[in-house]
Formats: sequence, structure tokens, C-alpha cells
Amino acid sequence: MSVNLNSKQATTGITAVLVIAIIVVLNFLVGGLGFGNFRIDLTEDRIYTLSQGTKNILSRLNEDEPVTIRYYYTTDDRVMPNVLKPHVRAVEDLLLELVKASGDKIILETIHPNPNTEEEDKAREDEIQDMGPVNQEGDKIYLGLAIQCLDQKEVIPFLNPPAPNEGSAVEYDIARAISKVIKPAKNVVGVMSSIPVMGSPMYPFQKQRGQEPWVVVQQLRADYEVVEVPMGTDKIDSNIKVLLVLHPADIMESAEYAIDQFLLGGGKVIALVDPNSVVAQAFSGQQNPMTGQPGGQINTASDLKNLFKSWGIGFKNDMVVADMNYRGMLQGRNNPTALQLPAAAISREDRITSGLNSLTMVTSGSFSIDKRDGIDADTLVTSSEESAMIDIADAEKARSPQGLTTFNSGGRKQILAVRLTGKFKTAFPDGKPTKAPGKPDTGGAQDEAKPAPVTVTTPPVAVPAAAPTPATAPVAAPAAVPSAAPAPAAEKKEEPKKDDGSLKESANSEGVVILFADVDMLYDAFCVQQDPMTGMLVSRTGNLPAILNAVEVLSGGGDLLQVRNRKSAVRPFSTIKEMREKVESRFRPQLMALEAERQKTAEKMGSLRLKRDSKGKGFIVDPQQQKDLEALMQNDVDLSRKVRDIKKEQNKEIEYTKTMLKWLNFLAVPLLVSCAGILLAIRRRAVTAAV
Amino acid sequence: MSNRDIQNTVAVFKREFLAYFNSPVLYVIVVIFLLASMGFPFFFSRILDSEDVSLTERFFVWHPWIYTVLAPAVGMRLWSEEHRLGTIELLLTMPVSPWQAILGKFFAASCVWLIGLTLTFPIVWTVCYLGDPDMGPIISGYIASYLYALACLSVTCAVSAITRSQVVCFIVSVAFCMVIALIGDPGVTHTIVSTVPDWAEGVVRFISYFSFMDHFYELTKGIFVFRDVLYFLSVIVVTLFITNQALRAKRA
Repeated sequence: MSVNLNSKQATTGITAVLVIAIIVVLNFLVGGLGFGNFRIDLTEDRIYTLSQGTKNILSRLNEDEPVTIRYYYTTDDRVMPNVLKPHVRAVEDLLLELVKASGDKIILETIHPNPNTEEEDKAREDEIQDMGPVNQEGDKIYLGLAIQCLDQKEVIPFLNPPAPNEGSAVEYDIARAISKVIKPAKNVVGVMSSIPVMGSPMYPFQKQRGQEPWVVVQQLRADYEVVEVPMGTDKIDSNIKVLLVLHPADIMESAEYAIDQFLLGGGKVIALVDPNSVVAQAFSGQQNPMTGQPGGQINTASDLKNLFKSWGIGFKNDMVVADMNYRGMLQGRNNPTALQLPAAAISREDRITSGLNSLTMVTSGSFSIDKRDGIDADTLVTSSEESAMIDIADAEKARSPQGLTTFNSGGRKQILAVRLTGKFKTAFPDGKPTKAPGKPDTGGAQDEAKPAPVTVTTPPVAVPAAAPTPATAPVAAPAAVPSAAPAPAAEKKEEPKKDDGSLKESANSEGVVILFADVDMLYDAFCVQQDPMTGMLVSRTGNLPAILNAVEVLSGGGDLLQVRNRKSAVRPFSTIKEMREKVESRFRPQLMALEAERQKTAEKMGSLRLKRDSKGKGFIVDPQQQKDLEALMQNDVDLSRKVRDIKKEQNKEIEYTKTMLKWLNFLAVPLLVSCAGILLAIRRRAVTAAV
Repeated sequence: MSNRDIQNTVAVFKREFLAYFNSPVLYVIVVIFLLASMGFPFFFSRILDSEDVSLTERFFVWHPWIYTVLAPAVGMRLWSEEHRLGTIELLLTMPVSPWQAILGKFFAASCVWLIGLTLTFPIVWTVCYLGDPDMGPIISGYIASYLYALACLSVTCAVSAITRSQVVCFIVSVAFCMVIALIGDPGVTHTIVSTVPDWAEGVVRFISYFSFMDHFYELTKGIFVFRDVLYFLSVIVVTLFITNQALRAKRA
């Protein structure tokens, strides 16, 4: 076949080649160079779109001081694991989006630190963390960001890929880094605690190693200047923006007064109190790292009596919430006082909690709200209705192997965290309380406990009552902490009060107090865990984000919060969960009764065994006792079987619905289509036959 | 396109589409497609036992593989059949241009997939009933799935214009679709890159851009990226052009 350019065939051939070439070029322009490539985020929560918070931060960028982002990632297929590739691309897309949204005030440089290249050294110089070695040659991979503005630099050493279906955690990290490099001045956060949350430094002359601060403090230090406020203070520095009060056990009136004045002066307060802090118990009697002396006893109960009263908050510091629906594990056992709170328990309306999907609270108390004029109270976290208040002895019992034996649901949700907003009035209308703590003038279980006078609280370990007390089991914890020097009971009212310049109410209605009824939730073990892959600490529940969110909102950095909330997680099969919940609640009384019976049988068996074993090491056996024992064992086996049967029944009901849905989905439509096909065929045949 | 062109295209479309309804092919394909696309998520991915109502990871993820096999089954008869029966001569002597015939046939086959995909609605109903899924990714997932099906179909279309035998067309098309699905797979790319010399690495990487999977995945996540849609549309246009060329060559 000769090629004739004038023939029709050749023309169409050339057209085809041209069209294909144009299409390839078009694809190269859009896909390769990103020219005219737009994206529409179709997710409901816009999880792939820059959040308003990020945009706000970007709008603060200055044209003369552009931000440079150096994006380091290994491209070499020989070493780059497959799982990271979609993440690499997602981050790149996000960065391009950022550049676009910033109006070119962000300069993006992508660098590929492949093994044995100069770029690898560059990455190391920029403090990008290497991962690996990934193969036998010792090659390493990099996936990190350096964000720089003038001489301020922030590094994200390694970008962890998000869990399946999780939104852009990276966006938050980047937005945070950008806001940090463009605004180097940090807000000040005060931390006041009776537990040594700030850790302790190393003392070169002593063999003891310093203790790390709690993760929450470390996290706060990343974004804020964190200062310690001693428990015995009577004035809180006005440059502090947010005061975090953790377990104010045996707080003195003067310190409460200081918090009161801080709040009225425009400061924001986050307070975590606890009726029975397991962490305080654990920290009690620990050696003081400064002196090597045994440390003081920390009261396991804490509250802010005077302040609560004036804010209209009721808090029983000797009662603990037990919740059967939200019970979690503690020390390897199911424990109704270890609350594992799902999203349903957490307020979706409040900016602080709306992005959280779970919280862990251990031996939490509960608040009651008595509305005060000018103060709005918004509940942030509640228990389920299947909950009750139990006393501390019962809570201790719930932690023992024996477990909680009786439980009567109060049928009411308990308030575990609350946010107060508005115009606060002072809790100390008479002005500054006298230096020597007077008799507490409010009701409450702690009445008898005379606050110990604070001996010099030596930072960084703020232990209020330094009087060494025997470490007794704190069953009656709130009742009495013997103070070394009983305080003189000075009657406050008798003293003539001059106006000492103390504030009587907030200047505006923007006062905010956030209260949590549990302090253990911030202990490292309850909020972080080590990632098995990277060895880094990652947030385990919403505990840490909850507090970080709160600090962020209160310190006025609402922009970043909007980014954090973007991190939406998986949407669950809520109806299946509800169904399971319903079925379980129906079977629960039966199961609990059986469990109680089993418990009784076990006790009886135990005592019988003891009797038998004490008699001549089991050689001489009382036949009657042996018979009883056997009967009990049989009984135990029967009971276990019954429990098993009930559980089986329970599962069957849930599985039934699932199975039905499966078959319906799998077979219904194909059957209909087949029927339609057959019917049509028959009809056609009839028609053709008739013809 | 003039009115006349459209009328011709519609005429071819009607003839083809009704032919699908009148033959058992449509029913068999749709039923198999439904059994596969519903069976995989419910029995293999155990979607009801997972904690995630989104369809991305457990429903749409199977579609490329289903299409790899089933789209050629729908498309293989498009031209091979005409070749075999000799009706292609008849068709092309009618006052219908090859383009009108190609488009008409292609749209008819596309409708089969539209029907098949629409009939997977129970799974959407199920996740809506059992939870509160994000509808955005579901919608874009369906769009992505449909685009993928059309891309496979158009590849088959081109192959069927070249070959006379349906069986050959089916096997070659399946192989093509599978290759296109796999070239972007990091494992495959990796293996190839590590065997070829350094200078060819760029070429391999360029080729791996042509993978369907890469472009499919973003869309199912709920991000409508123009480059991905453009890519699928390009594949369809290019393969239809090839079909056109093949038919013209045959006719000549």
C-alpha cells in the first residue's frame, strides 16, 4: 500500500494521530504540570479541603516574608514502601493547595533525598528524620517537611500516614508549623497541680534520674510557654493567658482567691478535679527527687469548693461515677468506673469537643449545675443513663479482683465535663482571705479536712501537704489528712475588711471556665500509647486533644482548632451498635444475676477448700465436704454454661439481622433480574410462536 | 454534529440496546456483575463486621477487577460479531458513518453498565440504613466506577474492531485491561524499575502514569480531581479513534 498524503485514508490517519497527540499533551499539562487541574471535594465534612482555620492562618502571611516549605520525600521505588505512596501524593496535593490558597506567599520546594545522593545530606541538615534502614544496603527513606520563615524554622521530621479513612492530620501539623514560624511569640499557659506533672529535672549530684513531664505538658510546651504556678500561690501572673488546674487537692483559700481574681481579670481557667484520683494515689509517697526524702501524701480527692459554689457547680468529692454502658478496662479487668466514652457521650456542638470520638475517664466524679445569672453552662461530656454514683469504698472494690457486686442504675446521665461562659462574680466578696486558712465555710465531705498550711512548695514538685503521713489505703481519703500544724481557726467574718482592690466581677461576659470531673484522664497511660511502627507516642483517645483544644480555644487561637477538628474519623455502623446495645441491655440483668451467683459459688468453694486444705493437707477428707464441693463445682459449670448460652443467644439476635441483610443484598436484585429475563424470554417466545 | 448524525447515532444505539435486551447476554452479565459486586463486599470484605460505613475500601475497590473480566464480555461482540456474520459490510453501506456506528454501539454497551451499577443500589440503602455514610464519596465512587467500566469497554471496543473472533477479542481485552490496571501498581513498577537500566526509569514511570488504578482511587475517596476524569475520558476518546481507524482500514 503506497502512502499517499492526498488520499482520504491518510488524512484521517493524520487526524487521528493529531487528536491522540493533543490528548496526550492535554493530559501532560493537567496531570503532569498541574495546569488547570482543579479538584472538588465531595466529602460532607470537606476532609480534603483546606479548612477555614488554615485559610485564616494563610491570610496572615506577609508578602515580604514568604514562607518556604521544603518537602522531602524519597522517590526511589527500590526503597520507598508502597503504603506511603498515596500519602506522599496526598501531602503534595495539600501543599500545592496551600501554595495556591496563599497567593504564592508560600514557596514550595520538593526535594527527593534518594539513597546516596546529595539531597540526602540536605534532608539530614534540615533535621528530617530518616526511617530505616529499609534494606540490607542500609538505605533510608525520608518523608518530612521543613517550614521556614526568615530565621524561624519548624520541622515535621516524619509525616505519619493517617489511619484508614482518617482525614488530614497533616494539614493540622502544617498549619500549626506555619502559624508558629510566622508568629514566634508564644502564649503563656500556667499549670497548677498537686501532682508532679511537670516532672523533675536531673540533679547531677544525685543518682536519681529526672522524671519526664507528663505528655500533656510536653505537648503544651510545643505551642505555648508553660509556667508552673505553685499550689500555695496567692496571685497569678497576669501574663498567663490560660490556667490549667490539675487536681487541686487541699487547695488553700488564698489560692482559690488567686484563681478567682485571675478569672475576673480576664484569665481563662481549665480545671480538672477528681473525687478519687488513682494517679494521685500512685504518686503519693513517691520520693521527692529533690531531696531523696519520701514525698508527701497527695489527697486523692480535690475540688474548688468556694469557686464551685459561686459558679453554681455542685461536686461531691467522695462519689464516683460507675457506668455499665460505657465501662472500660482497667488493670486488665472490666471496670464500670473506668469510663470509655464514645462519641455519643461527647458534645458535638462545642468547638472544643466536636471533633473528639472517644474519651477515657477513670474514677470520675460528676457535676451538678445550679444556674447562676449571667453564666451559661454547657455540658461537654456525660455518662450514659445506665450509670450511678457510688462511694469511694465501692470504687476501690470495683478496682479489686472481686469487682463491683451491686449496681443500681440511677437512670440519669451524669455530667462529666462542663463549660461555663459568661460574666463571673467573685467567690470572695469580702476580699482577700486571710493568710492563715480559715475554716472552710461551705458544705461538702471535705469539711473536716483542715487544709494543711503549705510549707514552701519547692518547684518543680508541687506537693501541697508536705507532712509525711503513713501511706494508708485512702479508703476515707477525703475525710482526714492529718496536718502537721493544725491551722488556727480564724473566723473570717470577724475581721474588718477594707477594700483591698480585689475584683468583684468580670469586666465582660467573656469569662470561660472548663471543668472536668476527672484528673487521671491526663495521665500518660490513659491518653497516649506508643505506635508499634514508629515508636512515637500517639494519642490513644480524645483525652489529650480535648485538653489541647481547650487550651487552644481559650488562648484565642481558634484558627488552629478548626484545623484540628477537620480530622474526622471513620463513620461507624451506628445502627448495628445501637442494636447490639439494645440486645445487650435486655440480657444484662440475667447475665449480672448469673455472674453474682457464680461469684457466690466461688466464694463458697473457696472457703470449703480452705477448710479442707487446713485439715491435714487434704489427706483426710470429710466426705460431706467433698460432696458439697463437688456439688458446687457442678453448679459452677452449670452457671458457666448458662452464661455461655445467653451470650450465644445474644449474638444470634445481632447476627440474624446482619445475615438477613447480607442475603437480601446478595440475592434480591440478581433474582429479580433473572426473573425479568426469563419472563421476557417466555413472552417473546409466545409472541414469535403466535406469529 | 448535525441533526442527521445524531439521528443516525440514536438509531444504531436503539438497535444495539434492544439487541442486548433480546439476548440473554445482558441478563447473564448483569446478574454475574451483581453477584460479584455484592458478594465481595459482604463475604470477602465483611463490610458489616467492619467499623466503617464508607464504600470506598470495601465496595468500589473490587470494581476494577470485576470490570477487567466483565467489560470485555459485554464489549467483545460489538464488532467481532459483525465481522463474523459479515453484517459489518451491510452496516457500513448504510447511510451511517463509522463514527455514528461506533458511538451508537458504545453508548448502548455503556447503558448495560449503567443498568448494572444502578442495580447495586441495595448496598447504598444498607449503609444508609445502618449508619450515616458520607454521600459525597459514594457519588464520586459511582462516577469513578462507571468511568472505569467505560474505559475497559472502549479498550474492548478497539480490540473487537481489529479481531474477527469473539474469543480472541475477549482474551486480548482482558489481558489489556489487566495490564492497564496493574502497570501503576507500586509492586509491579518496583520490579520493573529494579530490572531496567537507570535511564529507562523515567520511561517506566511515564508508563505507570497510564494505570487506571491511580486515577480511580482518588475519585472513590471523594475527591473529584480533574486530571483523573480527563484521563479516563482521554482513554475512551483515544480508543474510539483507534476503533475508527481499524474499521476504516478493514473497509478499505
